[in-house]
Amino acid sequence: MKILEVRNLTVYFYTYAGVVKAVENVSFELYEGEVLAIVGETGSGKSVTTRAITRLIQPPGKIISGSVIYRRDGEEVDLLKLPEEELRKIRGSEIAYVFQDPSSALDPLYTVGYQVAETMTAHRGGKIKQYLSEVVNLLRSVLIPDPESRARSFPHQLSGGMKQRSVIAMAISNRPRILVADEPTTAVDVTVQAQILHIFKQLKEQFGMSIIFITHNMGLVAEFADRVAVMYGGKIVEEAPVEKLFQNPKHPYTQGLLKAVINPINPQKRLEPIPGTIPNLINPPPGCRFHPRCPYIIKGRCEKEEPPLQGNRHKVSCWLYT
Amino acid sequence: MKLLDKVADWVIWLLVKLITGVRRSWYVKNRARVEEWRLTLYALNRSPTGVVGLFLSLGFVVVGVVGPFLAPYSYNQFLYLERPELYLAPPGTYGMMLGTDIYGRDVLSLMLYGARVSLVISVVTIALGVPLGILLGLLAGYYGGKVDEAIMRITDIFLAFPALVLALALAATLPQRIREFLVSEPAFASFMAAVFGVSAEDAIHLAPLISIFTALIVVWWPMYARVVRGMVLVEKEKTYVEAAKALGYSSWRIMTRHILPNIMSPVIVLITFDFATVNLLAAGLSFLGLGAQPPIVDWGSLINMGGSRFPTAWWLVLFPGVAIFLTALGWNLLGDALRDVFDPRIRRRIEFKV
Amino acid sequence: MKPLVKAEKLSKYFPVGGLLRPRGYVKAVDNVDLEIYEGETLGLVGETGSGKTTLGRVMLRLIEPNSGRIYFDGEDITKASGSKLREFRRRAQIIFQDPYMSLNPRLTVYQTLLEVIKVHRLPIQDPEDYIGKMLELVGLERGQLHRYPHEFSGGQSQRIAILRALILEPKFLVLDEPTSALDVSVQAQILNMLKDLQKRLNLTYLFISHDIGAVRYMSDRMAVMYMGKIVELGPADAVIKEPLHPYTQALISALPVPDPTLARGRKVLLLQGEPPSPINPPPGCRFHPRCPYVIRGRCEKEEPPLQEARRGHYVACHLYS
Repeated sequence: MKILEVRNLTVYFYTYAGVVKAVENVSFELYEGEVLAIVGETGSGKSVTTRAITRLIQPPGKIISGSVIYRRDGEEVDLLKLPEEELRKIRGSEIAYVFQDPSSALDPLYTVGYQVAETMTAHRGGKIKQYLSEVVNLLRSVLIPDPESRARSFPHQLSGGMKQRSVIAMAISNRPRILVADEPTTAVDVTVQAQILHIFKQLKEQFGMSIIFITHNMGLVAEFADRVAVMYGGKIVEEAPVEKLFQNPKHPYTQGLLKAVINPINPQKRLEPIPGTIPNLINPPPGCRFHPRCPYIIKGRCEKEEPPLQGNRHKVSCWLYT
Repeated sequence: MKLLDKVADWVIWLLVKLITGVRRSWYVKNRARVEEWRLTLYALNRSPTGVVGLFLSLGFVVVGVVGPFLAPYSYNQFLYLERPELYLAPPGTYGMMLGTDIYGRDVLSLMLYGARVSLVISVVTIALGVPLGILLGLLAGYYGGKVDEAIMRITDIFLAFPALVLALALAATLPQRIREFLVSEPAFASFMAAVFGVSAEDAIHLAPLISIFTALIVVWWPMYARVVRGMVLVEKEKTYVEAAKALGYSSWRIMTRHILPNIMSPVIVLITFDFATVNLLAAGLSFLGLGAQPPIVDWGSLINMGGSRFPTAWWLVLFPGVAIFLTALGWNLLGDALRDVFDPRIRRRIEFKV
Repeated sequence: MKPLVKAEKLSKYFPVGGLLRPRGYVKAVDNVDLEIYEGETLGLVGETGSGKTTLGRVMLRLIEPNSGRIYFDGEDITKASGSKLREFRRRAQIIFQDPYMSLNPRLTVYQTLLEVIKVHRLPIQDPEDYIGKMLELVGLERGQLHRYPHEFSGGQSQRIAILRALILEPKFLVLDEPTSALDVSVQAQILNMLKDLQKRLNLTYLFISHDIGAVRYMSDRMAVMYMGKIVELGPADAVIKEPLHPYTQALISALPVPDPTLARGRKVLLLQGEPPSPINPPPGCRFHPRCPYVIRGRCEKEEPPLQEARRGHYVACHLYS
C-alpha cells in the first residue's frame, strides 16, 4: 500500500553564482514496509529531495513546485501544503530522520537519555522523567551496551558508533511510519555499520517501518534495499527492484556506477571509472543530463530532448529504451 | 543598489590598474582573488548600515589626510590677539561657520586639524600595536608549551593595565624626555610635525601626544595576542598545516604564509572596531588634558576647552562631540557589516538576497 | 630483500585527562613491527581506534614516536633533524583524506605547487611551464593554474594534492584514506591513477583505509590493526579470502557486498559491543573480550605474538600457536 507519493518535486537554490537546479521534476512512491534506497553521488539531489519531503529546506533553497502526498489515517495530505503546525506534528513522530553526522545531531549540553526523552515529550506530552525507562529499553534495542549508564552520558563521552545509534533511538522513539536515513553509516566503522544495518532490518520486520535509505554504497543497497532509485544531476534516472537493478542495469550511469564500485569478495581486475565530472547544476546540460559522459549517446536526440522516466516496475529515463 | 555595485566595480578596476602598473602579470595570477574582492564589496553593499559606515569611515580618513591643507585658518592663528571680538565667537558670526575658541581660532579649521591628529593617533597605535600582538599570538599559539605560557603571562600583565592609569603615569614622566629628544633631533621633530599637520617649531608641543600613544600601544597589543593565539590553536590542527609540515616547510613559513592569511578576516573586523575605540580613548585622554596641549588641538581638547565654559560656549562641545560620535559610529557600523560579510553562513544568506 | 621502510617496536602513547598528571595513556600504536618493500603497496586496515592513521603518521615522523625506531632505505631516521630530516621528507610524502582540507584554501594551485619548488630549491628552469605540464599530466587544464582549491571538484583537488607530493619525486607515499572523501565514480579514477603512477615512478605505497575493497584492489600485502597492534599480516587476497584472526573474520563478514543474491544468503558475524576503552586495554590479547573463540586461561593472560601461520601470512592469535 502506498504510503508516500512524491510528484514533480522541484527545488532550486538561489546563490550569487546563479540558480542551482538541485532537484528537477522528481517523482517516486514509497510503499508500506519497504526499503527504498536512493543512490547517487554528490550533486545528484538525493539529500535535498528527502529533506524537501517535510519542507526542511532553508534559504537560499526554495521548493518551487510539486506535491508530497502522505497517506495517514486513511486520508491523503499534501505535506508541502500543510500548515507549519500540522507538519511539525508529523516530523519526528510519523516521519523521522537520521542524518550522516551524529555529532551534529546531538546537543552537547544534554545527556543522551534526555534528548531521546525530549523527542518523546515533544510529541506525546508529559515530562522527561516519565519516559526514562522507555528510553533505556530503546537504547538497548539499538544494541547499546549498558544502556542505563549510557543514558546518563553526554554525547562527547560516546564513540561515533554509539552516538549514531543514539540518534537512531531518538528517531524511532515515537514509532515513525517512515524513517529517512541519509548516509547513516558513512561516518562509522564497518562492524558498527553491520550492527546498524541489523537494527534497521529489525525495524522493518518488527514494526513494518518504511525506510528511505540514502547511500552511495552499492554494497549496502544490495544487502538491504527492496527497491532502488538512482539519481543523477537532480533527476531520477532509473528505478527498479534491487535484484533487477544489479542483474540488468539499464541506464548507462547505473552501469557505470556498478562497474566503478569495488566488490571486495570478487574484485574486478580493473575498475572502470566514469569519465567526466558531475554536471554543473546552474547550467545543466540540455536534454539528458548525463549525455556529456554517456558512452551510448544518440547524437541529435540525447543532447536535445530529456528522456522521460518510463517503465513498469523497472523504470528508466533513457532514449536507448523507447 | 546598482549604483553602489557600479562604484564597487569602478574601485576594483582602479585598484587592478594600479597594481598591474607595477607588476604586469599580477592580474592573471590573481583573477579569482579580485573576484572575491568584488563579491565582498557587493555583499557589503547589501547592508545599508555598512555602506553608511563605510562612507563615514572613509570620510574620516580623507578629512584626516587633507584637513590641514583645507583649513581656512591655521591652528596657530590666534586671531583674538588682533580682533578681540573673536574671543569665543558663536557659530555664524564674523564669517566663522563653527565659531571660535578662547584664542580666537576658527573652530572649523581646528576641527580639520583635529581630524588629522585623530587619524594619526589611530593609525599609529594600530600600526604599531596590532602587528606586535599578532606576532606574539602566532608564536604562543603555534609553539604552545613554555613559549605559550611565557607569552600569555606577559599578555595577562599588560592586559591588567588600565589605559587611563598608564597614560597618567606616562604623562608624568615621558613628555619631558620626548621634548628633550625632539630638541636634539630636529629632523625627526620636523617629520613628526609634518605628520601631525603642525608647523615645525611647534613640534615640541607634540610630546604629550606622543606619550599617550605610547600608552595606547602598550595597552592595545595584548588583546590581539590573545585573539590571534586562540585562532592559531584552532587553525594549526587543520590538515593543510599538517601537509605543510609533511612538505618540510619551516615553522616560520607555516605561521606567516599559511596560518596567518587564513585567520585575517576576524582580525580585520577587530581592527575596524578598534579604530573607533582608539579614537574614543584618545579623545577621552585629551579631554582630561593628558593629550593634545595648546597650541596643538584635537577634538578631545576642544571639548575640554568647552566643558568648563558649558553651556555658554556650547559650540566647542557640540561640534567636536558630533565628530567623535560620527567617526566612532562609522567604524562600528563598518565593522559590524564586515563581520557579517566575512562569516560564511551569513554571507550565503546575503547572496540569496541578490 | 631489504625493506625500504621499516618500523621496529614503534609505540605512540597519548596522555589523557587528569589535572596535574595524566589519568592514563591511549596506546594508539603499541610496539608495532612492520616492513614495507620497495615497489609494493602495503594495505593497512582497521577501524576507529585501531591506530592505523597514527602509525602512518608516526612512520613519517609527523607525530613523534615514544619509543622504537624507524628505518628508511637502511638509515635510522628516528631522531633525524635539520637537513637530514628535510632529505627524508623529500623522499617520503603523504596524501591526506580530504583534499579541500589538505590544500591551503587561500593559495591557488600555482602558488601551492610553486612553494614546494621554492622551499626545496628544486632545479626547475621555468616553474610556470613545468607546473602547467604537470597539471596536464594528471588530466587537468593548464588554464586552471590560477584557481583556488574550492573551485575544483573533489577528484581534481585530490589530484592536485597528489601532484604536490610528487613534485618532490618521493620514493615512499603514505596514502591516508585518499579516496574516502570522494564520490564512488571518482574514487575509481584516483585509484587507477595511483596505480599507474606507482608503475611509472616505481613508488612504494602504504595504503591506509577502512575500505577493505579498495585496499584489496590496491595492495599486494595487507595488515589488519586492532587497538594499536597488528593482528594479521599477509598477501591481500589471502587475508580476505581466508582471514585467520577472529577479528579479521568478523570484519570481512561485515562487508556489504554489491550483489543482492549473495548478500541475502550470507551469514554475518555480528561482533558484540564496541572496542573497549583504549586507555586501559584488556590484559593479554586485546580482542579477547569480544572473541567468539576465546581460550579461557590463555587469551586473557598472554598476548599472542605475530607469527607465521601460513606461508607469508602472519597472525597474532593463540588459536594458531
